[in-house]
Formats: sequence, structure tokens, C-alpha cells
Amino acid sequence: MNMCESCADEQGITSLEDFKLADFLISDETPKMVGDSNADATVNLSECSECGFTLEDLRKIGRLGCSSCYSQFTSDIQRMLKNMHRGVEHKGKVPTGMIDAMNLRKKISNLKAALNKAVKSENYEKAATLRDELVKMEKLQTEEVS
Amino acid sequence: MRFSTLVKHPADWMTGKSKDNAVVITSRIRLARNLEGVSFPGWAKKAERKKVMESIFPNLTALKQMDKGFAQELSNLTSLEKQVLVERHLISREQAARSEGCAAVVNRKQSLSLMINEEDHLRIQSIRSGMHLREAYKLINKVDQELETKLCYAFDEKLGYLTACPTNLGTGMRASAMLHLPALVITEQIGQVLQAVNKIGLAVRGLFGEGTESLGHMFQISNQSTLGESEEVIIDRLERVIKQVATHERNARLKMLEEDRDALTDKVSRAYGLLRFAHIFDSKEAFAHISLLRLGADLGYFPDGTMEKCDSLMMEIQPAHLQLYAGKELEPEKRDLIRAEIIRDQLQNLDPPATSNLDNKVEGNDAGDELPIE
Repeated sequence: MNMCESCADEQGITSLEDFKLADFLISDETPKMVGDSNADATVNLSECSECGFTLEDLRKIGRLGCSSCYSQFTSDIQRMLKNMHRGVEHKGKVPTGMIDAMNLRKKISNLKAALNKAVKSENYEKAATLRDELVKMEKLQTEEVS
Repeated sequence: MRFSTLVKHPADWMTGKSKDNAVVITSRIRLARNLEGVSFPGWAKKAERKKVMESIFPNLTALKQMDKGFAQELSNLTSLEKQVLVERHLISREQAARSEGCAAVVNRKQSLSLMINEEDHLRIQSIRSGMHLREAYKLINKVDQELETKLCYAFDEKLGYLTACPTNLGTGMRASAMLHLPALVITEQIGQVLQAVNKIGLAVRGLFGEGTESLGHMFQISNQSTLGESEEVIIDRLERVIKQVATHERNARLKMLEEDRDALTDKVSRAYGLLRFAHIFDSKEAFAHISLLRLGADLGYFPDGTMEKCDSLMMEIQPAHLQLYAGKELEPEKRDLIRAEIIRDQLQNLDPPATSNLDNKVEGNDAGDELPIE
């Protein structure tokens, strides 16, 4: 069983009795996914393209490298989650404020690009509309921040 | 707020300035959050960690809740000062050890603390005295909502908040309560109760849980699963279970008072005697006796205010607090002497246990906060 001290801590593993719980949590699937090549032919030996993390590192440090590791090692992680949590799909809070802010930023940068393009192609009528829209969006953004 | 100010003023939750914390001492909630596109602190290079801190830190100190709070990069603190923050549950042991690129921001009341570059980029934590998980969540949620408009959290529609350790995935929320369960330990029902709690999928561990035993009869119950349920559902279940455990403890206390009073009085009196007069106390022994004194205080052996005294003592006699009090680093043997000195000093005006109030307590409690057991 591979588990960092703080995970063990968080999961309440301080006594022998509690260890049964740990075995249940980190099931026998875990050693397979972390690169015992005899155990499983489909072992994922690739690196996370964002941070260079491998599943071998997970075995060593008990944590992932970055948020992109979750998409890099999806199937291995999914297998692990089944024994770890009550469900495998998020049902909690969604950072709507962040998503709104992100969408707004995206919209603004798209508008800016479109405006540039319109100006370059001397389509001033379109540029004017885009500029009005851009001003509106930017106003919305400063309002939100304050 | 300077470090010295922070240390001088214990938080309400530390000194039990709440009437309902005889069994459920504190409620705590923490959220784990990470930034998108940066390695998690444990995998990040030093420079990367620093960059994360520089981008998060100003947003935390700008929060209105943090007005006149404490904000410090951990590399600016001595190891003893960091240890004090650990003992106050304001930063984690892990964060204190790493310290490079780590920072802590704590509000004036010390009920809200934010940690940068711990296991995750950001951890938001709120602690309350008594059984107040919902209140703690409300505060924390507000802070989280404000921060999410300024920070780019790593969030996945299906997996929720992405965390360094998959055990925190989803809500990123760990909710917990610290319970004082001396009567369940004395009457040997504790194993059964904790096993039941475990079976429901909640985690139990002792406070100061280094070994297998819980010091001072303190137990922490928390949610194990963070994915697949909403924050409300998790808190609801936890609260229900905690209330049931608290009721069991309450009942065990009253039963001891009714059926085994002499033995109880003897235990409380021995604890009192030792605490008042002993000259050497290691933490373990001190916690055990203070726990019994606290139990006695709840049952009416001691005047009002004694329980609060027990709670602040439990904080003050921990190694770092104790060395800060002494003004220097001390060898363990020397600490044991100072520990006993602090205890004697704090309890010098406490009268021996009185048995005259006990019967009111039994009746008073029977009418009062009985909770339904499912």
C-alpha cells in the first residue's frame, strides 16, 4: 500500500484497526496502475505532457503532478476513485463566478481580435459595432471586480 | 497583526468561549483549491511555487475578512513560531516543514485561515467552537466565491476541483469535528461507537494522534469521501453522526453519575490532585488528567469557567506554546517541569471537586439537550 503521511493522516489511519479502512480505500488496483509490468499489460508509462509527471512518481509521492495529470491518466485514476469516494462524478459546488469571469475574458479577447481584423480590412462599420460591444463587456468586467 | 499579537490572543474556539462545546469541542471545514496550468506544490519547482504565491497572496490579504489579520510568508518565521501555528491548527505540519514559497493568512479572530502552497496551492479553513459546521461552511464558501472571480481554479466538470491528492477530489472539502469522549472511553463503549462511525464511511482519529491511542480522550470525526456528493449532503451526514456520538457520550456521562458516582468522583479528584501538585508532566499524562478535569467541570464538580480553563491549558502545554512561554527552546525533560508549573499556576485557585451540585446536573440535563438516536 502506498500512501503519503498526510493522506494517511487525513484518512484517519492511525491505528491498526483503521488500516483495514485504508486497504479498502487504496485497493489492490493501485499497485497495478503504478507500473508493476507483470500485473497489468495496459500499464500507463507515459508522462504528463504538462508537467512530466509519471504514475511511477505517484507511487513515490502519493500525489499527482498538476491538474492536467487527471486528463493524462484518466483511466488509471478513474479505477482508483471507485474505491475512494462515494461516487465518481462531481455533484458539488461549481465555481460559476470563475466560469463567468473566464467567459467574459474570452469574449473580450475574441472581440479584440475581431476588432483588429475589421480595422485592418477597413470594415469600419463593423469595427464600430465591435468596439461598442467591447466597451460594454469591459465595463461589465470592471463592475464585477469591484 | 504581528505574530506576538496573534499568540497573545487565543481564538474563541481555543478557549471554548461557547456554551455548547462540552462534547463537540470544535467544528472545522477546509477546502482545497489549485490553480490551473501550474504544477501542484509538491511537484513544482521552487520558482514555480514562488510564482504561485505571488499571484495568490495579494488576493488573500485584500479580502475584507482579512482586515487587520495576520499575513506572513513562512520563511520569515522561526521554526518555533511555525510550530505554534501548527499547534493552533492554523497551518499544517507539512507546510511548516517546507516553508519556502509558503504563506499563511489568518483573520483577526483566528476563525479563518488561508494557506498557500501546502499540499494544494490554496487551502481555506474555518474553525468554530462547538457544533457549527454549517456556519463554518457559510463563511468559507463566501471567501471561496470571492476568490474564484480572481483566481483561475483547476476545475473539471466531471471531477470537480482538481487536487494534488485524489482523495480530496470533487468538493475538495474536508469537514470535521473534535469530540471529547471521556465517558465512552471509561465505560469501554468507544470501540463500538467508532467502529459504527467508520462503517458509515467517516474517518475517526485521535487528536495529537501520533500513536494508536487518543490523548486526552479527543477524537476527530471527518468525511472520507469528497467526490460524488454535494457539500450539503456531506455536512448533513457528518452532522447527524456527530450528534449521535455526542448523545452517546452525554448518556454515558449521566449514567456514570447515577450508577457509578463514587468511582467517577474518585477519578476526577485524583486528576485534580495530580494537576494541582505534581512537578513533572509529560504531554500524555497531562492531557489524560486535564481531560478528566474537563469531564468533571461539565458534570458540576467545579465552578463555571473551569472547562474554558481546561481548553486553554490543552493549548498552552503543547511543546511549542510552552517554549514560547518560557522564551527559549527547551529539552523535553525541562519542558515537563515547565508544563507542570503552568498547570499548577493556572489551577492554583481551583477548589477541590464538590459533589453538592451533581444531582441538579442529572435532572437539568435529562430535561435538556437529548438528541434523537436513529
